[in-house]
Amino acid sequence: MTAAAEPRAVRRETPPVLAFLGRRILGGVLALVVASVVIFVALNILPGNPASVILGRNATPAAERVLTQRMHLDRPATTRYSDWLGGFVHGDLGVSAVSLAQGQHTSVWRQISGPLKNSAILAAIAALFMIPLSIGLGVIGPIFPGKPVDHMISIFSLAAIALPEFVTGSLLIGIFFVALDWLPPVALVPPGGSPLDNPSELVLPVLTLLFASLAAGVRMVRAGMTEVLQTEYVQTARLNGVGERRVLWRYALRNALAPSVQVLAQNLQWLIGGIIITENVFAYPGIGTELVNAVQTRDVTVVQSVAMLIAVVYVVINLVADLVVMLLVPKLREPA
Amino acid sequence: MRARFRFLHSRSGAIGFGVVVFVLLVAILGPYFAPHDPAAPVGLPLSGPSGKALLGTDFLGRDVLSRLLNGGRSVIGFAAAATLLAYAAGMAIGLVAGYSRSLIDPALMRSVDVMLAFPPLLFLLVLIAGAGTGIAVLVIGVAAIQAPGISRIVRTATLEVSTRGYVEAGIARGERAFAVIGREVLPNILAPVLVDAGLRFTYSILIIASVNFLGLGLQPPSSDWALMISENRTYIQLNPWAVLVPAAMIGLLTIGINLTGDAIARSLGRSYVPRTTRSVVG
Amino acid sequence: MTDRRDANLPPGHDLLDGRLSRGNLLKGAAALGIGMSPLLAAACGGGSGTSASTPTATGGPKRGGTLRLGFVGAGTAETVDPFIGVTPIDEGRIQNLYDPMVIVNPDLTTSPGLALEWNPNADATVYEVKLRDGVTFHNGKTFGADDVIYSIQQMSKPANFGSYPFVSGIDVNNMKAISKNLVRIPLKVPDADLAANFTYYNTWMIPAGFTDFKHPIGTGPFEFVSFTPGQQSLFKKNPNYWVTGKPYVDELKITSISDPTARLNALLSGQIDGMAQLPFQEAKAHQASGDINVLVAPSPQAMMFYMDTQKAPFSDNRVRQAMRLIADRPALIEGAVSGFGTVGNDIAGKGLPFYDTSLPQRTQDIDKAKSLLKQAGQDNLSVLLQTSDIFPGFVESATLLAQQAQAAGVKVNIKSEPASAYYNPSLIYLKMGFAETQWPMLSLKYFYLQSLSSNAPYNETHFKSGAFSTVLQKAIGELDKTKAQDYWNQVQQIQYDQGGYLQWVNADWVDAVSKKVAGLKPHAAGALGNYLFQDAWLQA
Repeated sequence: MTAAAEPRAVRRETPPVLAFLGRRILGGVLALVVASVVIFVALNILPGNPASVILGRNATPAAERVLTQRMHLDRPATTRYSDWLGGFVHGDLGVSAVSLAQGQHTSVWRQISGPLKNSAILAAIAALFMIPLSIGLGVIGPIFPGKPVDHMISIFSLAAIALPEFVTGSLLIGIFFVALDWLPPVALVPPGGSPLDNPSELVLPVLTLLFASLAAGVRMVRAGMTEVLQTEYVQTARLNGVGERRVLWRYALRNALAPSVQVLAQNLQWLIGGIIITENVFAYPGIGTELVNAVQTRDVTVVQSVAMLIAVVYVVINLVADLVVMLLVPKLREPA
Repeated sequence: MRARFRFLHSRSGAIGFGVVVFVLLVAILGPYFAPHDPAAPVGLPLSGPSGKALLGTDFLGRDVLSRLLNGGRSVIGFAAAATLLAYAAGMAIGLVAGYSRSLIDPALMRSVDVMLAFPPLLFLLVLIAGAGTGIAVLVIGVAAIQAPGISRIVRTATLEVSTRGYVEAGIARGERAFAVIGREVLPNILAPVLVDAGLRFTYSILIIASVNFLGLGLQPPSSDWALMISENRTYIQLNPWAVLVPAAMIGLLTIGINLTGDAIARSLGRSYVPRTTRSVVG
Repeated sequence: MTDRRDANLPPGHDLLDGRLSRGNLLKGAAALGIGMSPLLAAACGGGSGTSASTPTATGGPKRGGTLRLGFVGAGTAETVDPFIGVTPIDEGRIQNLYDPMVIVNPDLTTSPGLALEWNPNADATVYEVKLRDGVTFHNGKTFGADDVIYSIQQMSKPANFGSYPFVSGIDVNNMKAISKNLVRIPLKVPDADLAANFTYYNTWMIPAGFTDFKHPIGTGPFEFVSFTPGQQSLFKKNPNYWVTGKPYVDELKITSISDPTARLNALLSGQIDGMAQLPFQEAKAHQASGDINVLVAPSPQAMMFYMDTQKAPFSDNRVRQAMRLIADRPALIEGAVSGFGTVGNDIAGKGLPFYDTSLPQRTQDIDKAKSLLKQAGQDNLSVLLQTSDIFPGFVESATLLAQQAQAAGVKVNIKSEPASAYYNPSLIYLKMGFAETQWPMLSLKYFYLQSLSSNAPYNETHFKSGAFSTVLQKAIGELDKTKAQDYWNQVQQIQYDQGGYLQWVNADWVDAVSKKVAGLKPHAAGALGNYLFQDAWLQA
């Protein structure tokens, strides 16, 4: 973070943006390939037949044989892996293993497309608030160091960090529903409906998500801002009689922002982790509840596709963050 | 030695450290002071605090205080085990990567990057889907989440130190590289490592608690702070203490370690990146 | 109270339509000189909370609105196919789309449903069943003999595991429509009370030729609109329902909310109007606070632990008996169901006809349990008990039993399984060595056919005994009540001595509705007033 660039970059050679982008995309694809291997291996880590896992202890051999066949488990692992990944790339997420066990044939995509949309809406709203809030709250502290507002923000973020999402969620329900009766404690989105039809049901899940993911971000932005405010050129600007407001906005903020973007990307990623817990606290019909249910019933095909989808989102967020940082900090456009 | 404890001079450091010691003492010594058997019902379910049960009873009529006093060991034990395991694996990888200066280094570090680009909870859930629920899966899974980050830190430290003269000299004398690194490097990085380990430890607690909440971790009738919260959550109106007190214990421990960590980092006087429980992985 | 269904009810039924309380029910029964149902005698004897029904209307039922209910979900295994439904949420949906031939009353006596009369021949091998006139399916088809024949033939397919045991004694290929409203049902084995086979929702009626359970058609009070398994179903009012004037609400929305906290919160916040399976501990508190209406129906609903009699260590009867002696039933009832129930005696159906009251009540006897275990060479027994929060009281009772077992040196490890898998036969159901279960109890015959007969679909204990099956067959076929009782006693004696069930409670049904909901009455056969949502209305 000591590499804070001069406010105006002097050198403006043709930046190899495309090369940079290409490298990053290649890295992202590589990461996803490795992720797919990790997922596949983790799901097949137990010796023995996943069919028997789905069917539970003491599965009958006949039922196991049938399911083995339906799930193509009689094929070698490498074939199954490439079939799955190949299908995934072409948008075919496979068939729910549990539905196969029940003699049905429910495509994973059909099962998760609704929840996926619901989760995307929840995450988008949370992100919409999170980005300005973590920057805002992170910047205020260093501007008023040692003032009550600074302390308040520090205490708040420490508390938020210390409690897992399911506790903050439960406490928020306790305050805003049980005690005050202001907000609904459960998010019941009908199948085919949109969570936006009933926005009040979204408030507590969004707050829970914000609470958890904001705190760390606020602390990081705060540290970045503190550091920038102490750099020489900000001090110099002040000494040169540049107005304090101008110092903050023109000099400090822009330079504090660049590292913040990466932090925010990380925050978005935590948000995706936090969504799994939050959805389960509020019975929100999203990808997180779907995933946990699939883990409980050992529905390996659903788990591997949902996990892979989330990994893709993760990598894309990273890419976008890199891109934004690159635009904000020209220096990075040079080859490393 | 005294310098090591300089962080106690800051107010937040002293408070934080005190809180940590308090919670650890409760967890370790608690079982000896528990008034009742943590597994046996002592009264009607969810009755409020009384002389017999100072914090009331839980959803099965068991004494909340006794369960609280017994419930810290597993929380702390499993998280500590996961963190230690993570350190063992992470240090091994980091040392090898940092010292080898061959193709192993980029290969290892690329893999580490990938692991870091994977949501930790998601990884844990996938592992549980594959390997089933169980303490071992939980501990190994949480360790696997943390090991990559540790290995990166250790690798950087190793790289930095292994080029220094005294290390190269030691190696030239025929000493084994790892022995040199162990003797010269570890003491130097002890304080930051402690901070890092503390934060990772609290992270382990939070993620294990979350998995317990999802019903994929510890099974009843264990008395465990995290399990107490999820078991009694439905009845928070009837006996709030059964939820609030274990939540407070976890919260205090996490806050305490974060405060202490901050204070130590400041006392080391380095330009420090604020790291917290939630930012420690990645 | 002038609907057509009531026209065929026994005298005294009006009483049940009013506020059901033990006191006036008993009084009324005595005054009218009708035999009090043994169940209620039993239920009234043992005491748990008071039964409360939703308040009777001020100014009569209101019409319109959507009744929104929350149930424990069963994931993608949820179904609206009556022949394979398993869990309460299936039951709640199926009972409102279809109709039974025989209606179960709140006290577990029966009344005519789609069938008006059941006339057996002398040896109970052929029945002539007279059907109700003027009933139409949702698609406009008139209900008649052909529908009964087709439905029973469908039920007899082994794949339809829920219905199969109820019709396995019927000679399905020789059923005959004598007229539009009269059907002849020949049996392969005698059955003294065939009507009792057509009470449970697995045997309700579908139209002839019907196969598409994605768009189910029945004669029930509600018509199908949409259904996403594991999430939600929406039904609308059947305007041509054969019970005049019902249902009162326009729509019925049933949502899966498996998390008990979320389900209760949804009710308290008014996001749903009613929920099945209120946690017992909450019931006590909400009875006291009165912020919602708690429906409590004393019933023989059996909550049981079960042991696989074919697998070690429970294949040794001494181990099974030891487990039954380890349980401290009163403590389980106090701790796990907050006192909502009466002590169970390992043979389900307390209070029902043919229940054997002469068997001594089993009580905790740790010494005897220890000595049995020692004889069996299982002094250091360690077992896995699989439970689930699909029913309130399960995890609680498992936890308490594990604690009680310590006294006998038995280590019980608990694993909480997901609600969506627990009763899913393609997943873990019927494959667990030691687990918990719950049975609504309509009649002994219903329970034994489903769980213990030679082709029982839900043989949780994997109990197999030729002698037992023979006696059970005889008990079912015997028209003479005294002889039948004798056979039933033998059946129950075998289960009492050798069975794999540890029944610790006859549990009350405990559910809750918001203050808005009226008309639902406690019902011994099932949750939420046995899902009779055509009776419910929403107050302004």
